[in-house]
Amino acid sequence: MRVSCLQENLAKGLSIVGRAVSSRSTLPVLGNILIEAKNNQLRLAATNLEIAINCWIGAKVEEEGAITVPARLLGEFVNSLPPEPIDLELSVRTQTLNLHCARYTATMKGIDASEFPIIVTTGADNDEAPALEGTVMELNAAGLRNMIDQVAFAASTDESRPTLTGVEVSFKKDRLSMAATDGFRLSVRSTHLGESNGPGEDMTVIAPARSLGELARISADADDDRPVQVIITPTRNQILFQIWGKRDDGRGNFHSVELVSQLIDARFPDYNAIIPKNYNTRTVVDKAEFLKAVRVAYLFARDNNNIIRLSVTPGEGDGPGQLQLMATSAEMGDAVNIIDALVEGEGMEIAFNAKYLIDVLSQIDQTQVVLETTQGTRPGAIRPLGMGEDEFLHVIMPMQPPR
Amino acid sequence: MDNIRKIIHIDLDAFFCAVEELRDPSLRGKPFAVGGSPTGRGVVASCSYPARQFGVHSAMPMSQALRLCPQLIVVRSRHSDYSAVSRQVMARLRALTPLVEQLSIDEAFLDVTGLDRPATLLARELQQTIREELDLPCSLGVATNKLVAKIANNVGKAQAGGDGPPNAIQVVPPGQEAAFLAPLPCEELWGVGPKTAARLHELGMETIGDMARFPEAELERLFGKHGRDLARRAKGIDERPVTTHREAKSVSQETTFRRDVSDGAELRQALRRLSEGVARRLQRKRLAGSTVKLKLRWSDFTTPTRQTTLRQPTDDAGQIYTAVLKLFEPLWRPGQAVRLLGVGVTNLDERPYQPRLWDMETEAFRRAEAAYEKERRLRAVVEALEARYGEEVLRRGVEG
Amino acid sequence: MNATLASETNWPVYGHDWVVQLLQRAIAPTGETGSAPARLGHAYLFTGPQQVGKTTLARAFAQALLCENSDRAPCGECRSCRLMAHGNHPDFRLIQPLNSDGEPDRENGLLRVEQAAGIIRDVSTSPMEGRYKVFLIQDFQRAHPHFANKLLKTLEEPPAQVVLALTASDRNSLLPTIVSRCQVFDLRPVDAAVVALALRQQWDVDAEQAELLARLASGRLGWAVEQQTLPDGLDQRTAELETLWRLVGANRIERMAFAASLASNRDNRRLFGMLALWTTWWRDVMLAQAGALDACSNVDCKSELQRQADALSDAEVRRYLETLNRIEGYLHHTVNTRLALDVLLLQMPSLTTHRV
Repeated sequence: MRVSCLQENLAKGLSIVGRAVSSRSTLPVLGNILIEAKNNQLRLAATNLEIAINCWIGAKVEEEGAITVPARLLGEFVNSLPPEPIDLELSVRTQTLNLHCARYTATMKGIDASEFPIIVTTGADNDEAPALEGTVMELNAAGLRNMIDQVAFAASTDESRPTLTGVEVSFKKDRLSMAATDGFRLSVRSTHLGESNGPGEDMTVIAPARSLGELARISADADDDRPVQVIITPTRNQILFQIWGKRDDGRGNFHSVELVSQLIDARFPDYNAIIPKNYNTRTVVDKAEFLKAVRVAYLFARDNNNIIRLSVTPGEGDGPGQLQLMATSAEMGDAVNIIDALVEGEGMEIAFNAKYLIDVLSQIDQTQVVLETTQGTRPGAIRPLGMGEDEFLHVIMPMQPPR
Repeated sequence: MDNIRKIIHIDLDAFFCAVEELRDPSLRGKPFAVGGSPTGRGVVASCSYPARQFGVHSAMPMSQALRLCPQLIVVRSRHSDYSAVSRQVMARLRALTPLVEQLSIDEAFLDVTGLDRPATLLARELQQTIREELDLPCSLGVATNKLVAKIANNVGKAQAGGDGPPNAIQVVPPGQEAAFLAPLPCEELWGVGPKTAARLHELGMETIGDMARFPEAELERLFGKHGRDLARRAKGIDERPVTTHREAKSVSQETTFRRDVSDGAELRQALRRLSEGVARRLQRKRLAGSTVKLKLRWSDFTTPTRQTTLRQPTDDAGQIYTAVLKLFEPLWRPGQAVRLLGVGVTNLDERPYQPRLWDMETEAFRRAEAAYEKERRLRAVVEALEARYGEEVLRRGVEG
Repeated sequence: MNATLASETNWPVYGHDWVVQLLQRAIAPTGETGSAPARLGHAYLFTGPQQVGKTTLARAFAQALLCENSDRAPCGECRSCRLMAHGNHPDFRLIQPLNSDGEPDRENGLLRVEQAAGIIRDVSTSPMEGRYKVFLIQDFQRAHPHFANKLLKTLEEPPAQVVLALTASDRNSLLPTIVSRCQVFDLRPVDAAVVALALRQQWDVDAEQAELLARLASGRLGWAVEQQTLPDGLDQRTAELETLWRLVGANRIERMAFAASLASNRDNRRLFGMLALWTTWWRDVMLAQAGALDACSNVDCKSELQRQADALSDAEVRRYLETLNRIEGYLHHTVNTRLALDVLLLQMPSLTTHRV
């Protein structure tokens, strides 16, 4: 293998695939990044056996070939280089990679590329590797990113409940929905798929929230004009997302990225059963004001299990009502904050974990939010004003304060 | 007279024994004791009145009880039975007023200030209800505050005599509190332990009356803040309200060893187990406490206790164990034989609790939700009472 | 001599024939080639003494299960077999006890509750390349109770494509709820002849050396292999035997000094290795006294064995073997290392002609 590429592009590619390197694997080869020179491109790949990322960057290939080298060493070395062309050359006999850039050279001991796990690809850039077959659909990059941001945070981080660490992704007719819950809150987001972009059949899978998070992160650098291609394997055990890099020839770019994630083989809890079907009180408040008030209350609630009490009072006659937020800290005292609210229905009191409110409010772009509640022991529903319940809905289980 | 409270203290007579007699009527009139096995290191939890004639009393080792009264029948305690019956009794009390403060499985205060009928009559009715509906004997003390009501009950029971349950009712009319307490020994007063009693005797005080006559400033100088409390209590003043919190005031667990233990590792192991048990119960009740207590009994039955206060309330086994170990190490010398160990957490706060969304589908959630609603209604009743009789009545009670 | 099954089954395993046969039957397809093996269990537990071959067997089992070419034995040539051999198979997980820094530590580490959570998460996704995901959990006797409890459900009914293999010193050291969820194989010591054959065939050990190592190994092939790979494996044994002989002839003061140096060394691995060696030695002396020198382990020291056997009384040697056994037990629970070592040294049979 003999190849050269730009330092910025290699650094960018390494930072993208580096997120999939497993730091604590017992498989030596997983601490490495696969580098493959082929078809005038450089493929970089890493996997932690749950997520695998392939990234193609532009390169001048003089001799094709492949090797794996330690991810951290390579990443740190490349990051410390000046923005100039890098030459990479593999010594097949010793399985060592020689790097040369400006006045710097390095030699890294690698592991044979054939030891690296096989990662499925769309085959778009690689006519020899087995191309992935399955259900194909195309999604808008920015829309997909937004959906993931509004849903994935509600997933659980407790690995011993694998199902809840995932996001349920379902295609029904012409709608794409995502849902995640950690058991305490639920986030559901749904969108209309353009004609002929859907999979053509209804299907539901559970993708790890971590994988979708990585996808959202990578797609921030994507070309939003080109759709993200999604492929789900026929056995429903893997999902692949293909993202295109920006087309302008600037530096620090990639051609395309393919993120492959294992799917979680489980049945997602039936969340329709716990979505409130009606409300006794409907409160509309300014989102920014609400978020600020919750953040202030959170300072006081932190050492008291994050609990903040919300008290809703309807307005007299035609006047506005109010939403009062209270938090108590044993050491710092109390915080009370009152904001104006449009209240429909009766007054009520309810207590929430402040963090859950901050999490959801931070992901809402609209200026006003709606809080719908029935009683203090039952879940509250939050969504942006102007967005239908079938588009975005967040449900939070209230806390039970000490009596 | 507006600010005078009506407080009843009720105590079920030889409660465990009474429940056992309900189960097995042939025990009636016989000397028997409820408690642990006589071959091991069990103690008497409760003993029948005929057994008391032989000098048997509760907390006595079962083996000693059997020496005093060889014909003593030993009945193994059945705690779940006692709890069930206790709940029935407490329900009868709450039927009368929501202002019930349960002190233990067989003891409670009632605030009946808001009720129209005289407290003495209410006490008699309660005693009758519990005897007729539950077939259990009980004794009651009636006074204007908790301190005097409880002492009154003790005195009433002591005066009843005989070899059956006392079934006593002792009333201290308003204004008679100090006079009623005056002839009683200092030790009867809440807050007077053996150490304080010894100091009081040195200063020439034998009765509560002596204490009441002693200059208050002088008591405060000698005993600090505690001295001022003592002076007020000696005069029969007690402003503590009847608090309806039904949560445990403390969670504790203790173990009596089958044989005395002097091995440090084994004792620490026992403390760890007890700490874990206490933590589990705290978590189940969603409570956290900031005071950790150690109780220890040497082979000569002296029972020192030590306690420490944490900066944050805890329900964590590790934190409780660490605190208990700090109390244990300076108290115990290697090789010293220990008969009993106990770990407790007090100063309890209820923890906010975060249920799960899917909990809504469970029976337990519905029960908790119902209890929550009930609590809210109870609060509404208390608020209504306050509105009717003034907050002062319920919160502050009578001034000296 | 019975030929090893290694040649008959093509499993990379020496000895434990009956286990290999059962495992082979478990992975064999019941219908046509390529169909799912109906007899495959989902959890296997291998128990037995250290270095008897538990992990080797479990790895071979995983390799056979994951092999692309064969449904009876690993072919040793396909991609899967190659990745297994290099420790890079993406569908094989090795879970080991960890110390508090998260580093593998099979002696003092623990299988921790976070590892259990990781396994539970891992079993919920499909294998990367093959049909199965195999989890090898080593040294289950070092499992924290929370680890074991958390894993109960997974052990009882893992997803269809998951197979768990556990190793442990003995089944009594595990929770009964763990054992009852596994198919258990209690591995017996491997026949000395098989150990010798393995050393000659697989590790190119010359016949005499192989014979000696096999005799010393007490049926633990792993131990024999380790000795011959260690740079000073047998040299160390020779040195330790020489020390032992010196001590037999030493006086009280010299023996106490040796006990003191052992106690201050605090090298448990070496200490217990030495005790094991001493035990084989004194057992050999006893055999020699009974006229069964041919059955001894230390075949290269027969004349010294015979000399000591003749000079010492039967009762003395037998008593000392009991002492060795007892003291080894004490040392495992470190009551008072120094005191235990003093007893160990002072009670050793003595060959001094004039005592101090």
